[in-house]
Amino acid sequence: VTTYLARAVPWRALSVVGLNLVLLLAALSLRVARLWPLEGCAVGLLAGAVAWCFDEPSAAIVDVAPRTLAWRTVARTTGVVWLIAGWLVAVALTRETFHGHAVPVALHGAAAALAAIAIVTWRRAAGTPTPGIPTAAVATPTAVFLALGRRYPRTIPLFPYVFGGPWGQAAIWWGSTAGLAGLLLLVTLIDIRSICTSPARPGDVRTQTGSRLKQP
Amino acid sequence: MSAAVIAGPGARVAIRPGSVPRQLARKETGRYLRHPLFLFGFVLCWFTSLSNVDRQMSVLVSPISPAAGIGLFGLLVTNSLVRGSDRITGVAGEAPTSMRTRTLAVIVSVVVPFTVGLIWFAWAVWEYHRQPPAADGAPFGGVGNGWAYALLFALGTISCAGGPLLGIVLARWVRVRGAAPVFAVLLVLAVILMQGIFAPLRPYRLFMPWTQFAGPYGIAGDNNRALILPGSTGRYALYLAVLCGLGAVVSLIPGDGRRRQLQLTAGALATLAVVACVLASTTGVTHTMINPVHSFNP
Repeated sequence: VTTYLARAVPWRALSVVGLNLVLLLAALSLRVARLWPLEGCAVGLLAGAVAWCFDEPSAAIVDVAPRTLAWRTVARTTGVVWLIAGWLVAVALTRETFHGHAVPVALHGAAAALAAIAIVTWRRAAGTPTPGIPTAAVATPTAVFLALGRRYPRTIPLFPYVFGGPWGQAAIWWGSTAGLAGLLLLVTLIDIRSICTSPARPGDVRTQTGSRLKQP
Repeated sequence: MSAAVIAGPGARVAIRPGSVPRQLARKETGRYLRHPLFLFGFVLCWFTSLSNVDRQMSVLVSPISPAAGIGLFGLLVTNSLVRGSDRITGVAGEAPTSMRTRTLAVIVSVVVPFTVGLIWFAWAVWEYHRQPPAADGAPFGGVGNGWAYALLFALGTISCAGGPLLGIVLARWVRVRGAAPVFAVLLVLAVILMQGIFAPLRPYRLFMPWTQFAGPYGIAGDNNRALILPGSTGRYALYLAVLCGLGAVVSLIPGDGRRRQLQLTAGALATLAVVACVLASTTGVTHTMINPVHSFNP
């Protein structure tokens, strides 16, 4: 596991992202009322980095190796744990900034990370080798866009304003996101397990991503 | 002039010398137009622009929509286009086109977001007159509509092209996977810090590729009082246009035979950019102007 983790997870890049998360929240604490969009930027960056952890550039080789996708997904989650730990520490260190909303902010980040894990694992199971970068390319700028708008919280309350924002609605949105993501992850991993354990018919070649190749 | 013939399974394509760059540019423009990130950003841009015209400032606070929806998303779109083009070339083995031609083709495709920016500008000017800023908003005093038009063009339209060009520069110079989303967030951080929130940084904020010129920054006793910050919006638009040109030239330098010539051009454009930035900072509105009208929502 250690050898796989050392080579598969982009530790250096994750450390850079972790430092950026701390930087964003530290900058936010300078003047929370005006710099609040940085909270959404940080959540978007976290989700993008988490998605990145699951990219498998050598999928063509490792997908047919004995280690299953489920095993590799769980192993790669170590990188995610590292990121989430960094996120929680950063929120804890700047908790005064959030005026009583530090716990919801921490949970928003965790929910975004769970959604990213679910999406990339689902795409990996469908046979896409590197779904992390495209997912990050959508998740990060979308979060930045929603965070930058002063009035979007009214229609899409994902990043409610620290003073008087719709935090209750945000809890529902993020809770639903986390619930759906958990369901998607569960369905994907159960599907993988059934694919990996069911007996193969003579003539079939099965890959660990779930795709079935018919022998001529 | 002889024509080369490329024959594939069931297809024969005749390519005349000189037509390859044009065909590639057309191809990349089509790829940009169909890119899911561009389409997603386009929808977000118009949805937020049309639903969020400010009572106090009218559309002067709206350029953030095209800048983020088209410009910021465009940074990732062109980055992906360049990398995709390089990947295809790598798979093909012997490159049928040079890196310069491929980069030029992606640069030409920036016409797509720029056109969206122009359409947005036309809409913003129309909306500015349909629903002008309130008395407690901006512009006010001796600052007129020309200042507002230049602001909308610089922050709304030029940023639609600036973001994608920056994406090409990143793709050509930074070979680290995933650098574009991280860079986009850092750019937003820098821009937010330099948009005039911190008074000591205001004189230097025009150095950034996106900044604010007016807004409800507030004063003691009135948290939403409209201010106009120093600087010339017209010369700032010129500065951004020069930066776009500089980005295009810098992205062409890697893999080009005429490296020296491009470096000299980039140097000249960088000098011009510095001059335009200094002019933008020292001309136009010379000091922070405070609207004499108390804001209606203090």
